[in-house]
Amino acid sequence: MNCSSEEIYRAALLVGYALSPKNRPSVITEYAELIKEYRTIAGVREAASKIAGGLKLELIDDGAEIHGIIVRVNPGSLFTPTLQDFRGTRSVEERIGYGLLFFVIAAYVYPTREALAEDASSLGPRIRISELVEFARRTCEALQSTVPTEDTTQVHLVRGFDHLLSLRETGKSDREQKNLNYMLRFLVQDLYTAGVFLREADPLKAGDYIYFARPHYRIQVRTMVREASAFMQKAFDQAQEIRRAG
Amino acid sequence: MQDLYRRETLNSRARNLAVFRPFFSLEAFKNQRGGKELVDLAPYDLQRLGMVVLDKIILEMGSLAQGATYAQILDATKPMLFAANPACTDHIADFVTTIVVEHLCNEQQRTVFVISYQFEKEDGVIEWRENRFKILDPHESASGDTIYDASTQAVNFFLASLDTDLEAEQAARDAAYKHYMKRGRFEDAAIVAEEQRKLTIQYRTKIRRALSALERNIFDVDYVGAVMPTITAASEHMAERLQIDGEHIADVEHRLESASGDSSQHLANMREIFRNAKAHNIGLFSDIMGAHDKFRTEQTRQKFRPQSSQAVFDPHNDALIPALKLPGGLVLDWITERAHLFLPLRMAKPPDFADLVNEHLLQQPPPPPEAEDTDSERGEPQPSHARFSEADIEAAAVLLQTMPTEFSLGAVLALGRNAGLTENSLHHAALKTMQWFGEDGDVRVWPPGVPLSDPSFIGDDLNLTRRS
Repeated sequence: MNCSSEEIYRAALLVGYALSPKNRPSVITEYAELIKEYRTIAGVREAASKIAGGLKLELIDDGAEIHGIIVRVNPGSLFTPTLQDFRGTRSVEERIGYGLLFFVIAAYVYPTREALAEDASSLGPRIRISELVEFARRTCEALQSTVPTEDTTQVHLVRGFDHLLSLRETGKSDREQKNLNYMLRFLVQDLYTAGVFLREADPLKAGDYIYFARPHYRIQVRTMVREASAFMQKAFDQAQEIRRAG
Repeated sequence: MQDLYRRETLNSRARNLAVFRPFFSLEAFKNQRGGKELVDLAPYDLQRLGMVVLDKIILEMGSLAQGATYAQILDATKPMLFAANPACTDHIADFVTTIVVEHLCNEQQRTVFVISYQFEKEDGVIEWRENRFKILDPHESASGDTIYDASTQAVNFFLASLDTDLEAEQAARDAAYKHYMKRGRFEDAAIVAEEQRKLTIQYRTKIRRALSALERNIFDVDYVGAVMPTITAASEHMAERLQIDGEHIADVEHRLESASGDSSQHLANMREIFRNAKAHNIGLFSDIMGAHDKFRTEQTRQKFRPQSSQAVFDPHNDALIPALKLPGGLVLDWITERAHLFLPLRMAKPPDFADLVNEHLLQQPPPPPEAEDTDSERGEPQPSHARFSEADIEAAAVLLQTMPTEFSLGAVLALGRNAGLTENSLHHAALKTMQWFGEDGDVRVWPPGVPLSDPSFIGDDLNLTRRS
């Protein structure tokens, strides 16, 4: 399809706005107009998809008139995040802890397949850090009571649930960072700063916040769970083969 | 045949009774919900409060935002809470309202309510089934607020019209309304009129939801088989309602001419209610008229749009539990290669001068965490968190103090280098001079438009003048 230079210009503007979930069509009139054009003008839609594709991004229009266009990042994109961007830490223990807590938050917000499959515009449950900590601890304790713990002194070989249970729930002081409460708060705060979570004052706990996951997070988790599931299955099969081989 | 009616009636009654359970449990378990702050919930009827919340939300679903914000809900609950307990404070009202809203959102399970009930099949066999429903659902409004809307089950429960379709329910309320009006019972008639208005809002919401399904995935919707008959029925229903509302308004206005006292007030209220219901029906008319265009537009749009991933996996059982069972290092390696699945996209940010100054000069990084006894990596050398040592900062400060009234950044660097200052000290001094740039402080800074001549630093030179 041939797009006019004006359509390409408008499409590039749209991609620019879509890069930040904090941009809202209700606040930025131009963004709202661009979304309308993206939906109704084939040239703008085509150009926007191509521009995004060139940047290794995908544009997802799911309730865009309210939340804006949702952008999915593919590997190798200029915008692909790294764990180092997220938090530079040299401690293996902390890095593993943060990695596992990504899964904890996703499973807390969307506890079932049905919850994850709901209409993207639904915000899902309220997220309180203290309840996330409690959920992480209870889930790990339940696993610990059913799955045998393997005796190892190497941090990276410790099973996930044992690893999380080895972290304190809260720090001895406010400055201590290697505990579930601090780490979950850091993760949730990071998602809020990126515009993926909403935040409100918590009426039940003065000075604290409740968070809601926006549709951007739901769409990200859908992809994450699909790929994680395939990896986990493969990893288990390999582990069983190794065990069988003695 | 009678057995069939009996079975169907019992099945639907058993199913509908499930919707009551969350409301009953709200009151039944309130002693466990006082929280750590130990708010005494005994003075409050949480079931009634639940109704106040629903009432406000249903009314606000008819507004532009299509739902109520928490602040609106709180405004609606406060009068009842203060009336129930004179000792109730704003904070307690907030606390109690939050408990009710969270319960009706099913925050404990963080998903739909699932209530089991027994169902009798055609062959008489009894089996357990699940009634899965929502009561309140939070959404994000266009302005970024969290708004709550009520499910169809919740509205039906609120209007005590379980298991009756909306059109039939409206016809029944019409009959009741006429009955009260005929007998001059205007207060009762006004109550029925208010319920009618909520039914109108519910009907409009039902149609809106059917149409918004088109936006989500048009290929999942049977437009000809399901949506078109709904639109045709809605169109007929709306024309009928517009006529009935018009008749009600005319009747009320006629009676108003001769009414006085309370009757006059009730009639005036009724007129407002019917006018509002009429406005909703006109809004519905516009939704319906645009439905076919919407279908065509969505069909074109969605044909080309990338689909978001469908949720066919369970985040808890397919991701979290297996991840926790595997060695943490293995999971971390996998995540490291796929950080884009877990983290929001990152904008590569060019170095920003203001950020550099903030980072290095204004906000000293926090000290490293205290060593913990349990830290297996204790003893591993850690890099210094301070960008500049105290000696660097001190030397830079002395250098700047020795400069004359008028000087340049190039002169600072040259003098410092001659005096044997470290590169770090010179870096700190350069940042300090640039911090004055653009500030209306003790030192005036402006660029002379010539490049800096220095073996390490590049960029434009700066002229600096101390103000007396």
